[in-house]
Amino acid sequence: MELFRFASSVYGQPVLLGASWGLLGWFVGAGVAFIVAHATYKAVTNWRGP
Amino acid sequence: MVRATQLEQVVRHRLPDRLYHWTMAATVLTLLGTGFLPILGWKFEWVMAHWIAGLVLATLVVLHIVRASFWLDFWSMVVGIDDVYSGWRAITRAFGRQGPPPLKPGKYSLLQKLYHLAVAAVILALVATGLLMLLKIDTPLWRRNPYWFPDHAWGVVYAIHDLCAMSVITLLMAHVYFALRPEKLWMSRSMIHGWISKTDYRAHHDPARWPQQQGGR
Repeated sequence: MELFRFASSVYGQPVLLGASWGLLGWFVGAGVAFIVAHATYKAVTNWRGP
Repeated sequence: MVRATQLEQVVRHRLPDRLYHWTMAATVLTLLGTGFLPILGWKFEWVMAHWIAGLVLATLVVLHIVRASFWLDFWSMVVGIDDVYSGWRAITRAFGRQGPPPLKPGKYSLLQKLYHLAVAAVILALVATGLLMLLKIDTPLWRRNPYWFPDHAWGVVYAIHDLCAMSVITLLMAHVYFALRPEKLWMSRSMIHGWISKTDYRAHHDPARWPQQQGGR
């Protein structure tokens, strides 16, 4: 997985363009994972009682 | 004359703060839509809507900083020793260990303060890099001048902007999730109506740390 986007300069050297858009799915996935983990934790603790 | 219902209410968010919140929400959604939909394959003229929404966001951030500094209780959103102490108690109890319960928070809990800190850092970085990126486009107000920075410096500016924009999605997901959780609805409603009930105030807040007289501050 690439972290950054690069282009080639007129001299053939890599030039940083920005962050890789492939990371977008990881940021969305992190949000989903957090929500699922928290909702599961709350469901289990509520089921057990305080 | 004070109505009986008002006696049972504690002001949490005054009208200017609610207007700020919802205007910021609309602006951020516009920026996410105009920023990411073209990347996902939706082709439309997004640049003008994006930079105009960006300038609106920058203006809102400045207004919020001024209002929080002079009209609101600035320190109510700053993490203090009591918050850390209480947070540690909450963590130990979450892992099943016995001990005293966490302290009731003032207006904002430790997690709300940490969330606000993360959002503030990300939004300030987005505004700063976004304002620099305006140098690369022509608008009715200015002409482009992309030679302010060398190519590699522009790459760093774009990388910061891109990473912060993507992290806004994660932060927004968590924000909406907590706002919609059943046990948080009493608080979420206050961002619409402006107030919470006295019952919720007593149940969830320490009056010594957030006196009722301070209400919306």
